[in-house]
Amino acid sequence: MTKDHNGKESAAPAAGFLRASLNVPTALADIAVCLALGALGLWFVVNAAGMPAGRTMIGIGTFPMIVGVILVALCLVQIGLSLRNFRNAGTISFHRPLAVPIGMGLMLLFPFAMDSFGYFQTAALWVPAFAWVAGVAELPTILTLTAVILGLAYFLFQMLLGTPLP
Amino acid sequence: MLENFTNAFELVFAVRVLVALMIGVLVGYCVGAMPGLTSSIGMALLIPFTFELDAISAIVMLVAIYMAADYAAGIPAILVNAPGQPAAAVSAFDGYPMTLRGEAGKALNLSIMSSATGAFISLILLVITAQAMARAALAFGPAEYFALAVLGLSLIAVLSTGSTLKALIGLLFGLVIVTVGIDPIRGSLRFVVTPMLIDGIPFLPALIGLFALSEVFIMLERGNERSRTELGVMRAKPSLSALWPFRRTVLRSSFIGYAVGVIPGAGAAIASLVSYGFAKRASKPADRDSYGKGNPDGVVASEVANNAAVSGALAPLLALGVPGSASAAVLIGGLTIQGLQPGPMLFVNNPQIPYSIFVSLLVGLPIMTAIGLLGVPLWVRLTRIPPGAIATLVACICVLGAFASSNNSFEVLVTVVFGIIGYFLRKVDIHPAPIVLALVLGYMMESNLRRAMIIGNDNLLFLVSRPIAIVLLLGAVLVIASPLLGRLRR
Repeated sequence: MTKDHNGKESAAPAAGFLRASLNVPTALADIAVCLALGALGLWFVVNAAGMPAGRTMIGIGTFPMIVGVILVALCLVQIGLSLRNFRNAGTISFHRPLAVPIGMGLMLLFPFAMDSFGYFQTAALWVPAFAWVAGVAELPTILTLTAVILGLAYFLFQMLLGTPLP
Repeated sequence: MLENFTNAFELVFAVRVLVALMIGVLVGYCVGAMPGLTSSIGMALLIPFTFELDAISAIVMLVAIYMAADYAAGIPAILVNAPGQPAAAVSAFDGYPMTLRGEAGKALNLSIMSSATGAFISLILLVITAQAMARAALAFGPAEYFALAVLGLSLIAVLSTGSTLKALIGLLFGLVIVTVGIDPIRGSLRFVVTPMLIDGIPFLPALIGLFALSEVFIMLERGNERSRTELGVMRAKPSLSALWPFRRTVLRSSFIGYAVGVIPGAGAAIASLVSYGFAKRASKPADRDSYGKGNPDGVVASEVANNAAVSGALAPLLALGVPGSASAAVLIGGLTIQGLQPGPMLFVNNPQIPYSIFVSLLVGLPIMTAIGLLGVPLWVRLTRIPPGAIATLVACICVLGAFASSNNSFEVLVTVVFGIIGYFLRKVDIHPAPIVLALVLGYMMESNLRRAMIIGNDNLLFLVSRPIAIVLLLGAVLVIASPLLGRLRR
C-alpha cells in the first residue's frame, strides 16, 4: 500500500522502486560538470583556432576563441576550488534517482517515436508512462491526464494553430 | 507621444487583442499560482501559441502572462507558504503567518491591491524613463552597444543568486554556444556539426528546454508528494482604502522595485528583498520584531516591489534591447519571432509596439485585479493539482511547443537536450537565467565588437573612444571587481 499526495492509501504501486535517494558530494558534481563544460570550451577553442584569420584583427574565430579560453580557465578555477573544499562542500541529493534518467530517456525517445509512429499514437502510450514515472499512481488521474493532453494537442495545436503534427 | 498613445488605445481595444490580453492574464494566473512554474516558464511555453497571432496580440499576451504570473505568485505564498515564484518568497514571510492567524482574506486583499498599485506607479515611471533611455540610445554606435552588452552581462553574472564564479561559467557557456551557425559579419559557417544547426542553436527550443523542461526533471525528483495546509477564510474583499495606512511603504517600494528591476539580472526577487529590508528599517523600533511574524507592512513591501520590478525590467528591454530579467529575455524571443528588434529603433520604426505594451499594462491592471480577487478559490485549487500531473502536462506542452516552432522534430530533440543540460547545471547551482541572457546578448556583443573594429581600423582603443562607452565599460569593471575587492578587504 502506498500513500498518494492527499495522504490517502492506494493499492496502486506508486513507483515505489523509484523512491530512493542518492547523495553525491557537491565537489564531485561540480568537478564533473566543469569537466564537461571545460571540454566543450576546449572544443570551441581548437575549432576556432583552425578558422581563417581574415584581413581584420577580429576574425570569425576570435570571439569564440576568447570566450572558450575564459570558459576553460574558469572551469579549471572551479575544479581547483572544489578539490580544495572536497570534504567540507556537503552533498547534493538526487531524490528518486531512477525517475529522472527514465524520464529523460522517455523524453529523448519521444521525437523519434513521434516521427516513426505519429504524435497521437506515441502520446497515447507515452503520457501514461511518463505520468507513472512522475509519481501519478491513480488510474483515473492517468486516464484523465492522457485525455486532456491528447485533446489539447488535437483541438489547440492541430485544429486552432494548424500545427501539422506527424 | 499623445498621438502614439491614441493609436495604441485603438489597437489594444480591438477584440482580438483584448482576447489575447484575457488569455494571457488567465494563463499568467494559473502559472503564477502553481508552485514551481514561473513567469519565464509560462511565457516560454506560450510563445509557440503566438506564431499565428499578429505582433500586437502576441506581445500583449506575453506581457499579460509576465504581469499576471507575478501578481498570482503571492497567492500560494500567502495561503500555503509555497511561493509561486522566487520573487514571492518574501511575501510568505508575513503573509503565511497572517493566514495562520485567520487573516488570509486581509493578506490576499493587501497582496492583490499592493500588486496593482505597485504596477501602476511603475508603469508611469516606465513611460517616462523608457522613452528618455531610447532617445539617448539613438546616438549609440557599435562601441556603445558592445560596452552595453558587456555591462549587462557583468551585472547578470554578479547579481545572480549563488556563486558568482558559477554564474560566470553559465554565462560563458551561453556565449560560446551562441557562436554556432552563420558568422554575423562575413556569413561563414562556424561549429556547424549538422546542417540542422546552420541557423545556429534554435533559440526557442533552447529556451523551453533550459527553463521549462529542466523544471520538469526537478519535479520528477519530488514525485507526487506535497505538503498541505488546511485553509479557513480565503475570500478576499476588495478595498483600496486598506492600503492607506501603508502609503509610505507603497511609494518607497514602487521606486525601489522599479529601480532594481531596471538593473539587468537583479529581478523581482532582489527587489522584494531590498524593499522588505527598507520597510523593516523604516518602521518604528517597537514594530521591527513583528516582521516575519505576520506584519501586513511586510506583505505590502514585497508585493509592491516585485510587481514594480516587472515594469522596471521592461525599460532596458524596450529602450536598449537589453533584458532586465529572465522573463524579459523570453519576451525578447517573442519579439524577434514576430520580426521585431527591441532597442531604440523600436520607438522609431514600430512605435505601436512599445505604446501598445504601455496601454495593455494599463488596461490589464483592473482586469488582473478583478480576476485575482474573484478567482481566489480557483487559484487555491490549482495549488492542489498533483505535481506529477503538472510535470507531465508541462513536458507535453514543451514537446508540442518546440515542434510547433518549425514543424520539425529536430527542435524537439534540441529542447530535450537543453532540458537535460539545464537540469544538471541547476543541480550544481548554475541557473539557466545567465545562459539565456547570454544567448540574447552574445550576438549583440560579438557583432558590435567586430563592427567597431572595422570602423576603428582594428584599433582596440576605438572601444574606449566615446564617453558613453567608457562609462559603461568602467561600470562593468566596477561591477566585476566589487565582490573581489570586498573579499580582499575582509
